[in-house]
Amino acid sequence: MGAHAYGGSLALRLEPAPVDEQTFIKAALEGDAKARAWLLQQHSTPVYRFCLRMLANQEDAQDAAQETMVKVLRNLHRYRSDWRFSTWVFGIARNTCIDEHRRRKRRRTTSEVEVVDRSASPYEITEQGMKAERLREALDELAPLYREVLLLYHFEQLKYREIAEMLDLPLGTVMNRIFRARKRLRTIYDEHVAGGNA
Amino acid sequence: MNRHLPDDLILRFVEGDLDENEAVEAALHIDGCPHCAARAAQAEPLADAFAAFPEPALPVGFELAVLEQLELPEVATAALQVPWLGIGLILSAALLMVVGGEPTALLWKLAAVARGTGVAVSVILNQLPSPAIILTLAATLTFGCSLTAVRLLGLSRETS
Repeated sequence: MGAHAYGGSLALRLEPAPVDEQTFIKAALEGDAKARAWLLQQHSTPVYRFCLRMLANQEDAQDAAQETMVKVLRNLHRYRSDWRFSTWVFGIARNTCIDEHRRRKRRRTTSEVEVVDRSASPYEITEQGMKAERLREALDELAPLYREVLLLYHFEQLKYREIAEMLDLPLGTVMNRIFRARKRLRTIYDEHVAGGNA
Repeated sequence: MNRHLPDDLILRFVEGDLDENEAVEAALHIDGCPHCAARAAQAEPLADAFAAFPEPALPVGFELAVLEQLELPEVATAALQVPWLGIGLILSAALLMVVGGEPTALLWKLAAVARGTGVAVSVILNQLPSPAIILTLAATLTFGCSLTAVRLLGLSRETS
Protein backbone atom coordinates (compact mmCIF):
# COMPACT_ATOMS: atom_id res chain seq x y z
CA MET A 1 0.00 0.00 0.00
CA GLY A 2 1.69 3.19 -1.10
CA ALA A 3 1.95 6.16 1.17
CA HIS A 4 -0.17 8.18 -1.25
CA ALA A 5 -3.12 5.93 -0.53
CA TYR A 6 -3.85 8.01 2.53
CA GLY A 7 -3.81 11.26 0.61
CA GLY A 8 -4.92 12.19 -2.87
CA SER A 9 -6.92 9.09 -3.70
CA LEU A 10 -9.23 9.68 -0.77
CA ALA A 11 -10.55 13.05 -1.80
CA LEU A 12 -13.50 12.92 0.54
CA ARG A 13 -14.54 16.52 0.40
CA LEU A 14 -17.94 15.84 1.83
CA GLU A 15 -18.63 16.98 5.32
CA PRO A 16 -16.04 18.61 7.50
CA ALA A 17 -15.28 16.78 10.72
CA PRO A 18 -16.82 18.22 13.89
CA VAL A 19 -14.96 21.25 15.19
CA ASP A 20 -13.83 19.45 18.35
CA GLU A 21 -12.31 16.64 16.37
CA GLN A 22 -10.48 19.11 14.12
CA THR A 23 -9.04 20.72 17.23
CA PHE A 24 -7.83 17.37 18.52
CA ILE A 25 -6.35 16.47 15.13
CA LYS A 26 -4.47 19.77 15.00
CA ALA A 27 -3.22 19.31 18.56
CA ALA A 28 -2.15 15.72 17.82
CA LEU A 29 -0.22 16.97 14.79
CA GLU A 30 1.58 19.40 17.06
CA GLY A 31 2.62 16.50 19.28
CA ASP A 32 -0.04 16.66 21.98
CA ALA A 33 -0.13 13.16 23.49
CA LYS A 34 -3.55 13.68 25.08
CA ALA A 35 -5.07 14.66 21.72
CA ARG A 36 -3.52 11.59 20.13
CA ALA A 37 -4.96 9.41 22.89
CA TRP A 38 -8.37 11.03 22.39
CA LEU A 39 -8.35 10.26 18.65
CA LEU A 40 -7.29 6.71 19.43
CA GLN A 41 -10.10 6.30 21.95
CA GLN A 42 -12.71 7.73 19.56
CA HIS A 43 -11.84 5.57 16.56
CA SER A 44 -10.47 2.29 17.95
CA THR A 45 -13.83 0.63 18.56
CA PRO A 46 -15.38 1.39 15.13
CA VAL A 47 -12.15 0.36 13.41
CA TYR A 48 -11.91 -2.89 15.39
CA ARG A 49 -15.59 -3.61 14.76
CA PHE A 50 -15.14 -3.07 11.01
CA CYS A 51 -11.98 -5.23 10.89
CA LEU A 52 -13.64 -8.00 12.90
CA ARG A 53 -16.62 -8.10 10.58
CA MET A 54 -14.41 -7.96 7.49
CA LEU A 55 -11.95 -10.63 8.61
CA ALA A 56 -14.25 -12.75 10.83
CA ASN A 57 -11.33 -13.62 13.09
CA GLN A 58 -10.54 -11.88 16.37
CA GLU A 59 -6.77 -12.20 16.21
CA ASP A 60 -6.50 -10.98 12.61
CA ALA A 61 -8.99 -8.20 13.34
CA GLN A 62 -6.98 -7.03 16.33
CA ASP A 63 -3.77 -6.98 14.28
CA ALA A 64 -5.45 -5.13 11.41
CA ALA A 65 -7.18 -2.63 13.71
CA GLN A 66 -3.96 -1.87 15.61
CA GLU A 67 -2.05 -1.47 12.36
CA THR A 68 -4.79 0.86 11.09
CA MET A 69 -4.65 3.06 14.17
CA VAL A 70 -0.85 3.24 14.02
CA LYS A 71 -1.06 4.28 10.36
CA VAL A 72 -3.77 6.83 11.16
CA LEU A 73 -1.74 8.47 13.92
CA ARG A 74 1.50 8.39 11.96
CA ASN A 75 -0.11 9.82 8.84
CA LEU A 76 -2.23 12.55 10.38
CA HIS A 77 -0.33 15.11 8.31
CA ARG A 78 -1.85 13.52 5.22
CA TYR A 79 -5.41 14.04 6.44
CA ARG A 80 -7.17 17.07 4.96
CA SER A 81 -9.63 18.87 7.17
CA ASP A 82 -12.33 19.16 4.50
CA TRP A 83 -12.76 15.37 4.57
CA ARG A 84 -14.75 13.54 7.21
CA PHE A 85 -12.09 12.08 9.48
CA SER A 86 -13.90 8.78 10.16
CA THR A 87 -14.24 8.13 6.42
CA TRP A 88 -10.51 8.67 5.96
CA VAL A 89 -9.87 6.30 8.86
CA PHE A 90 -12.15 3.62 7.38
CA GLY A 91 -10.32 3.99 4.05
CA ILE A 92 -7.10 3.05 5.81
CA ALA A 93 -8.86 0.24 7.74
CA ARG A 94 -10.23 -1.18 4.51
CA ASN A 95 -6.81 -1.21 2.82
CA THR A 96 -5.26 -2.79 5.92
CA CYS A 97 -7.94 -5.50 5.94
CA ILE A 98 -7.20 -6.25 2.29
CA ASP A 99 -3.48 -6.59 3.15
CA GLU A 100 -4.30 -8.72 6.20
CA HIS A 101 -6.56 -10.94 4.09
CA ARG A 102 -3.69 -11.48 1.61
CA ARG A 103 -1.25 -12.24 4.42
CA ARG A 104 -3.74 -14.68 5.95
CA LYS A 105 -4.14 -16.47 2.61
CA ARG A 106 -0.39 -16.94 2.44
CA ARG A 107 -0.16 -18.09 6.07
CA ARG A 108 -2.92 -20.68 6.05
CA THR A 109 -3.15 -23.68 3.80
CA THR A 110 -6.49 -25.16 2.88
CA SER A 111 -5.94 -27.92 5.43
CA GLU A 112 -5.76 -25.34 8.19
CA VAL A 113 -9.35 -24.16 7.90
CA GLU A 114 -10.36 -22.45 11.09
CA VAL A 115 -12.62 -24.49 13.32
CA VAL A 116 -15.51 -22.33 14.43
CA ASP A 117 -17.71 -23.36 17.32
CA ARG A 118 -21.22 -23.30 15.91
CA SER A 119 -22.94 -24.48 19.07
CA ALA A 120 -25.59 -22.11 20.32
CA SER A 121 -24.45 -19.52 22.84
CA PRO A 122 -26.88 -18.20 25.47
CA TYR A 123 -27.20 -15.08 23.32
CA GLU A 124 -28.27 -17.11 20.29
CA ILE A 125 -31.06 -18.78 22.21
CA THR A 126 -33.13 -15.60 22.11
CA GLU A 127 -34.92 -14.77 18.88
CA GLN A 128 -32.92 -11.58 18.41
CA GLY A 129 -29.75 -13.50 19.09
CA MET A 130 -30.61 -16.06 16.44
CA LYS A 131 -31.29 -13.32 13.90
CA ALA A 132 -27.94 -11.72 14.69
CA GLU A 133 -26.14 -15.04 14.44
CA ARG A 134 -27.74 -15.82 11.07
CA LEU A 135 -26.79 -12.37 9.86
CA ARG A 136 -23.20 -12.91 11.01
CA GLU A 137 -23.05 -16.23 9.16
CA ALA A 138 -24.58 -14.66 6.04
CA LEU A 139 -22.11 -11.77 6.15
CA ASP A 140 -19.21 -14.21 6.55
CA GLU A 141 -20.33 -16.05 3.43
CA LEU A 142 -20.65 -12.87 1.41
CA ALA A 143 -17.81 -11.95 -0.96
CA PRO A 144 -15.53 -9.31 0.66
CA LEU A 145 -16.38 -6.93 -2.18
CA TYR A 146 -20.04 -7.02 -1.12
CA ARG A 147 -19.42 -7.34 2.61
CA GLU A 148 -17.39 -4.14 2.87
CA VAL A 149 -20.03 -1.90 1.27
CA LEU A 150 -22.77 -3.27 3.51
CA LEU A 151 -20.64 -2.92 6.64
CA LEU A 152 -19.68 0.65 5.76
CA TYR A 153 -23.26 1.68 5.06
CA HIS A 154 -25.35 -0.27 7.57
CA PHE A 155 -22.96 -0.46 10.52
CA GLU A 156 -20.52 2.41 10.19
CA GLN A 157 -23.03 4.99 8.93
CA LEU A 158 -21.01 6.14 5.96
CA LYS A 159 -23.01 7.85 3.24
CA TYR A 160 -23.34 6.38 -0.23
CA ARG A 161 -21.22 9.24 -1.64
CA GLU A 162 -18.52 8.64 0.93
CA ILE A 163 -18.33 4.94 0.06
CA ALA A 164 -18.06 5.86 -3.62
CA GLU A 165 -15.24 8.31 -2.86
CA MET A 166 -13.47 5.81 -0.65
CA LEU A 167 -13.61 3.09 -3.31
CA ASP A 168 -12.80 5.62 -6.02
CA LEU A 169 -15.79 4.45 -8.04
CA PRO A 170 -18.76 6.25 -9.64
CA LEU A 171 -21.80 6.39 -7.37
CA GLY A 172 -23.86 4.38 -9.88
CA THR A 173 -21.35 1.52 -9.76
CA VAL A 174 -21.36 1.57 -5.98
CA MET A 175 -25.17 1.56 -5.86
CA ASN A 176 -25.28 -1.47 -8.17
CA ARG A 177 -22.78 -3.20 -5.91
CA ILE A 178 -24.80 -2.38 -2.80
CA PHE A 179 -28.05 -3.60 -4.40
CA ARG A 180 -26.41 -6.87 -5.45
CA ALA A 181 -24.84 -7.23 -1.99
CA ARG A 182 -28.19 -6.74 -0.24
CA LYS A 183 -29.93 -9.26 -2.48
CA ARG A 184 -27.16 -11.81 -1.97
CA LEU A 185 -27.17 -11.25 1.79
CA ARG A 186 -30.94 -11.79 1.99
CA THR A 187 -30.70 -14.97 -0.10
CA ILE A 188 -28.00 -16.43 2.15
CA TYR A 189 -29.85 -15.32 5.27
CA ASP A 190 -33.10 -16.92 4.08
CA GLU A 191 -31.22 -20.12 3.28
CA HIS A 192 -29.94 -20.17 6.87
CA VAL A 193 -33.46 -19.54 8.19
CA ALA A 194 -34.82 -22.38 6.02
CA GLY A 195 -31.93 -24.62 7.10
CA GLY A 196 -32.55 -23.78 10.75
CA ASN A 197 -36.27 -24.53 10.50
CA ALA A 198 -35.80 -27.78 8.59
CA MET B 1 -35.17 16.56 -5.12
CA ASN B 2 -36.40 18.73 -2.27
CA ARG B 3 -39.43 16.73 -1.05
CA HIS B 4 -39.22 13.39 0.71
CA LEU B 5 -39.09 10.29 -1.46
CA PRO B 6 -42.44 8.50 -2.01
CA ASP B 7 -42.94 5.16 -0.24
CA ASP B 8 -42.94 3.09 -3.43
CA LEU B 9 -39.63 4.64 -4.52
CA ILE B 10 -38.09 3.88 -1.11
CA LEU B 11 -39.25 0.26 -1.40
CA ARG B 12 -37.89 -0.09 -4.92
CA PHE B 13 -34.63 1.51 -3.76
CA VAL B 14 -34.26 -0.94 -0.88
CA GLU B 15 -35.11 -3.87 -3.14
CA GLY B 16 -32.57 -2.67 -5.72
CA ASP B 17 -35.21 -2.36 -8.41
CA LEU B 18 -34.33 1.16 -9.58
CA ASP B 19 -32.29 1.81 -12.69
CA GLU B 20 -28.86 3.35 -12.21
CA ASN B 21 -29.87 6.99 -12.70
CA GLU B 22 -32.87 6.67 -10.36
CA ALA B 23 -30.73 4.85 -7.79
CA VAL B 24 -28.05 7.57 -7.86
CA GLU B 25 -30.66 10.31 -7.49
CA ALA B 26 -32.34 8.47 -4.60
CA ALA B 27 -28.98 7.74 -2.92
CA LEU B 28 -27.98 11.42 -3.09
CA HIS B 29 -31.32 12.39 -1.56
CA ILE B 30 -31.03 9.76 1.20
CA ASP B 31 -27.47 10.91 1.96
CA GLY B 32 -28.75 14.39 2.69
CA CYS B 33 -32.14 13.55 4.24
CA PRO B 34 -32.13 11.79 7.63
CA HIS B 35 -35.92 11.29 7.42
CA CYS B 36 -35.76 9.31 4.16
CA ALA B 37 -32.61 7.51 5.33
CA ALA B 38 -34.54 6.31 8.39
CA ARG B 39 -37.48 5.21 6.23
CA ALA B 40 -35.16 3.30 3.93
CA ALA B 41 -33.50 1.64 6.94
CA GLN B 42 -36.92 0.60 8.29
CA ALA B 43 -37.96 -0.79 4.92
CA GLU B 44 -34.88 -3.03 4.84
CA PRO B 45 -36.13 -6.65 5.31
CA LEU B 46 -33.14 -7.48 7.54
CA ALA B 47 -33.56 -4.35 9.68
CA ASP B 48 -34.30 -6.45 12.81
CA ALA B 49 -31.21 -8.57 12.30
CA PHE B 50 -29.05 -5.47 11.71
CA ALA B 51 -30.39 -3.93 14.93
CA ALA B 52 -29.76 -7.16 16.88
CA PHE B 53 -26.17 -7.47 15.69
CA PRO B 54 -23.96 -7.42 18.81
CA GLU B 55 -21.32 -4.76 19.29
CA PRO B 56 -17.90 -6.34 19.80
CA ALA B 57 -15.91 -5.06 22.75
CA LEU B 58 -12.44 -3.69 22.12
CA PRO B 59 -9.81 -6.23 23.29
CA VAL B 60 -8.16 -5.40 26.59
CA GLY B 61 -4.93 -3.45 26.14
CA PHE B 62 -5.73 -2.50 22.54
CA GLU B 63 -5.03 1.22 22.87
CA LEU B 64 -1.91 0.64 24.95
CA ALA B 65 -0.56 -1.71 22.27
CA VAL B 66 -1.15 0.95 19.60
CA LEU B 67 0.65 3.59 21.67
CA GLU B 68 3.55 1.19 22.20
CA GLN B 69 3.77 0.50 18.48
CA LEU B 70 3.81 4.24 17.84
CA GLU B 71 6.91 4.55 20.00
CA LEU B 72 8.78 2.06 17.83
CA PRO B 73 10.73 3.46 14.87
CA GLU B 74 8.79 3.32 11.65
CA VAL B 75 10.20 0.76 9.27
CA ALA B 76 10.90 2.30 5.88
CA THR B 77 8.67 0.27 3.61
CA ALA B 78 9.59 -0.83 0.11
CA ALA B 79 7.09 1.68 -1.24
CA LEU B 80 8.87 4.48 0.59
CA GLN B 81 12.34 3.34 -0.42
CA VAL B 82 11.77 2.82 -4.14
CA PRO B 83 11.62 6.50 -5.26
CA TRP B 84 14.63 7.33 -3.14
CA LEU B 85 16.63 4.44 -4.51
CA GLY B 86 16.58 6.26 -7.85
CA ILE B 87 17.98 9.39 -6.24
CA GLY B 88 20.49 7.25 -4.38
CA LEU B 89 21.54 5.67 -7.66
CA ILE B 90 22.20 9.05 -9.28
CA LEU B 91 24.14 10.34 -6.25
CA SER B 92 26.13 7.12 -6.05
CA ALA B 93 26.94 7.16 -9.76
CA ALA B 94 28.25 10.72 -9.36
CA LEU B 95 30.31 9.70 -6.31
CA LEU B 96 31.78 6.62 -8.01
CA MET B 97 32.66 8.61 -11.11
CA VAL B 98 34.93 10.65 -8.86
CA VAL B 99 36.19 7.68 -6.83
CA GLY B 100 36.52 5.27 -9.77
CA GLY B 101 37.47 1.57 -9.59
CA GLU B 102 37.40 -1.70 -11.55
CA PRO B 103 34.30 -2.07 -13.78
CA THR B 104 32.99 -5.26 -12.06
CA ALA B 105 33.58 -3.98 -8.57
CA LEU B 106 32.06 -0.67 -9.59
CA LEU B 107 28.66 -2.30 -10.17
CA TRP B 108 28.63 -3.84 -6.69
CA LYS B 109 29.73 -0.58 -5.12
CA LEU B 110 27.07 1.27 -7.09
CA ALA B 111 24.31 -1.08 -5.88
CA ALA B 112 25.44 -0.93 -2.26
CA VAL B 113 25.90 2.82 -2.15
CA ALA B 114 22.64 3.42 -4.03
CA ARG B 115 20.69 1.40 -1.49
CA GLY B 116 22.36 3.07 1.47
CA THR B 117 21.94 6.56 0.04
CA GLY B 118 18.35 5.83 -0.99
CA VAL B 119 17.34 4.70 2.47
CA ALA B 120 19.20 7.61 4.05
CA VAL B 121 17.53 10.22 1.80
CA SER B 122 14.13 8.59 2.35
CA VAL B 123 14.58 8.66 6.09
CA ILE B 124 15.90 12.21 6.25
CA LEU B 125 12.99 13.49 4.17
CA ASN B 126 10.48 11.61 6.30
CA GLN B 127 12.09 13.03 9.45
CA LEU B 128 12.15 9.81 11.39
CA PRO B 129 15.23 9.89 13.58
CA SER B 130 16.11 6.62 15.30
CA PRO B 131 19.22 4.61 16.20
CA ALA B 132 18.74 2.46 13.08
CA ILE B 133 18.71 5.57 10.90
CA ILE B 134 21.81 7.00 12.53
CA LEU B 135 23.56 3.65 11.97
CA THR B 136 22.47 3.62 8.31
CA LEU B 137 23.76 7.14 7.78
CA ALA B 138 27.00 6.35 9.58
CA ALA B 139 27.48 3.19 7.52
CA THR B 140 26.83 5.06 4.27
CA LEU B 141 29.26 7.82 5.19
CA THR B 142 31.90 5.33 6.34
CA PHE B 143 31.52 3.37 3.13
CA GLY B 144 31.84 6.49 1.01
CA CYS B 145 34.86 7.73 2.97
CA SER B 146 36.55 4.33 2.78
CA LEU B 147 36.09 4.18 -0.97
CA THR B 148 37.56 7.65 -1.33
CA ALA B 149 40.47 6.82 1.00
CA VAL B 150 41.27 3.60 -0.89
CA ARG B 151 41.19 5.43 -4.20
CA LEU B 152 43.37 8.27 -2.93
CA LEU B 153 45.88 5.79 -1.49
CA GLY B 154 46.00 3.99 -4.83
CA LEU B 155 46.54 7.27 -6.67
CA SER B 156 49.34 8.33 -4.32
CA ARG B 157 51.12 4.96 -4.80
CA GLU B 158 50.83 5.26 -8.61
CA THR B 159 52.28 8.77 -8.61
CA SER B 160 55.13 7.79 -6.26
